[in-house]
Amino acid sequence: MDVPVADAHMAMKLIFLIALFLWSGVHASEVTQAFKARDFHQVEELYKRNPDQSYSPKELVYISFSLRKLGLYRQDIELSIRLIEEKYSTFHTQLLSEVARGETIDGEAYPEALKVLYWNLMKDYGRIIQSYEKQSKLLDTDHKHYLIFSKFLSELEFREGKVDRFNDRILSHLRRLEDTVYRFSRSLSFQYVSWQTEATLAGPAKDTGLVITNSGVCAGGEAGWENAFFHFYVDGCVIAGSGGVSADASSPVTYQQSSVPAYGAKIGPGASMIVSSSGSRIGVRLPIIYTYQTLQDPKSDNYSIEQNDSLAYIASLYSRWQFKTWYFQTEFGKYIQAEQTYWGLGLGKNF
Amino acid sequence: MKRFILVLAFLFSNATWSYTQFIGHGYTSCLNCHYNPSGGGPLNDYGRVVSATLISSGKLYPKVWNEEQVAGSSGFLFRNPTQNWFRTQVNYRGFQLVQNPGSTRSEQKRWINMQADARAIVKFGENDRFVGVANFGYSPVPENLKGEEPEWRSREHYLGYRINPKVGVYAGLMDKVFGVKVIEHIAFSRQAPEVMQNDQTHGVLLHYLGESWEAFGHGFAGNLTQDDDLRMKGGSVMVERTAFDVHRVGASVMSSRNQYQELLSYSTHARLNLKEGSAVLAEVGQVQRKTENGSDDRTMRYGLLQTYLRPTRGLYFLSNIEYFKRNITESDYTVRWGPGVQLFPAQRLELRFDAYNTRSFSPDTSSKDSWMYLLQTHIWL
Repeated sequence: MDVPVADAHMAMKLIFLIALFLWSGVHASEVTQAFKARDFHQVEELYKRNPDQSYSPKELVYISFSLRKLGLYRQDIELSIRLIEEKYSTFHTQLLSEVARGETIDGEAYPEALKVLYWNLMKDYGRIIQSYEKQSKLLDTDHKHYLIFSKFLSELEFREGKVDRFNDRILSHLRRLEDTVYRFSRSLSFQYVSWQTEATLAGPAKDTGLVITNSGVCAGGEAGWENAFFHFYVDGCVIAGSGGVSADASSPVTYQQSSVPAYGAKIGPGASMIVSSSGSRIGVRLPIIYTYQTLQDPKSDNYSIEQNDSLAYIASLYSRWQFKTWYFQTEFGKYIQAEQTYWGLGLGKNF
Repeated sequence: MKRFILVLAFLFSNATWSYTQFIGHGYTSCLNCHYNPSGGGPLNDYGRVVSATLISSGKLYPKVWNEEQVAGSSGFLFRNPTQNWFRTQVNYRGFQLVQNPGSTRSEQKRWINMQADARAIVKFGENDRFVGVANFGYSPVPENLKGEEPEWRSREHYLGYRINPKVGVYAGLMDKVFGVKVIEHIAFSRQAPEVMQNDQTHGVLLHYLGESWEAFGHGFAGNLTQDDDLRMKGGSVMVERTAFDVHRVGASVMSSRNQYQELLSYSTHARLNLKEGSAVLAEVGQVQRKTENGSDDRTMRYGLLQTYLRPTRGLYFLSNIEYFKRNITESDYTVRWGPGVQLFPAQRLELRFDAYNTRSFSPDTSSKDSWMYLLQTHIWL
């Protein structure tokens, strides 16, 4: 019997379609089998090979679950959006317009499956947001999408408590990311300061130690970077003051001068830990201080003044209480390898 | 030197220990945590819970404990009281005092037991409307007063009655109400007006606690265990107002006299809550002193700035900055600067380090700063 060529072609097509149908059936059942075996990688592999395959609703749920289990949130988002477009396009469009118009939404009027898809989308975007370690434009985009689905769920009154709790977690993560960003900061400050230095009264018999107690003002500022937890900066100021000098009270030698002018500068790095939401902080500074002060030589030719090196290193404790842009600060430092101390307290203003 | 150290111990020891810096946790009124509305002395049940849950670190508690279980263990000897009318407390505080540490001058070290108190409280009525407090304990006596003052003494004993939640009246031996009751009784703000650790007085205290005002009126007849000529008799008034919901500003006036001297003290103060346990306490005041023969008449001026920062629960960094002018007509003045650390590793335990650097300013003389530090241990059961 002769078979026309056209018929033969038709038969071949039919056989091919039947085979394809049968193969699809086998493939679809593979998804179910893999899911039941908790082999999420296999489920994902099967889906990746054939994303456009016509899966049953149950299989799609399996695939979505597997993708989320594997942390493939973006793939799950694609899948969920595809499902919404294919199956719930009308409802979705209706919800969009109702939300846009600010209308009261009857959640009962929307299919439960659509709400679950929104829930999955919100969670997917939430998980993606939680995976960010720093701020970025992509994060902003994901956050916008997250807010859309969170809004849908709130309007539909679906799993309200859970949505609120998840929103709190996302907000807290975003705040943490925001808090870790270092920003340039600078301020001007004005402090009342006091410091001691030593000199020597060299005499014919023996030398006598002199103590100079100074006080004055230190005007300057600082510049550096800070986030919500730490502050790293360089601080400097110029000093103008005066002091009194005499031999230590225990010494029998009499040498005394009052209001001896003193000038200087202090500069150095600092680091603080910010310990309250008001911006209060505690830290350390390691400044170099240079002071200049000239003591008069005694009238007697047998005595002369020897002034010690006026450059010194200080290790200081620093604390600051922030009142919006103004702050109050204290600094207490000890000269390195010397007994003297330096302290200051004053006001500053951030710019 | 031994005598000097004992004098220091006398200055440091403290009968009642109040922690005014806890305004940084939102506690504006002392009555929240203490039976005495002006603070100090035995903690009430709520104060013990706050101490266990908010103030002390939670790191040493069993991980399975929640805050409620921690609170439940804050009673005497870790037990939850089975009745509501009687409470007991035991308090110990001691410290290592080191002078001139590491300096070329001689270093002095000594351990001093400074406080060992047993306290009993009876209370009745709704919200402890009636209270009776007795606090008996040890206090080191300075060398110059040995034999004249007892080492064991009643630190306070009084009865209290809240007429209503706003008004209370208290009678007995209590601290005088004046200024910010800081923990450091070495503070010039406590020394100058004579409101230190052994300056309790018998008297009657009226207390008003309003929405945004708190006021105290204290009339006193001196410590009746002292000889009559030494008793400082008089009265004080202190008023505080809540500012911006969380801060307090206030003023105090006190007049007192005995046979040898007359003091008129006045001050203004602020307690600022800078959130999450951080706080600033400030006080400026003057004390006019008139002596019997006029030999030591003078007006003293003082300033106190105490700052607290709390990096984490149970840990506080503090600065104690003080100014003192012995006589306002003279140029000499003293500044004392004391950085410190206060650690509450677990409820009932406080460890504290305080350094004190004292600098004298005078147009005529210049002397090296004096240094000392304290390592304190405070245990309460």
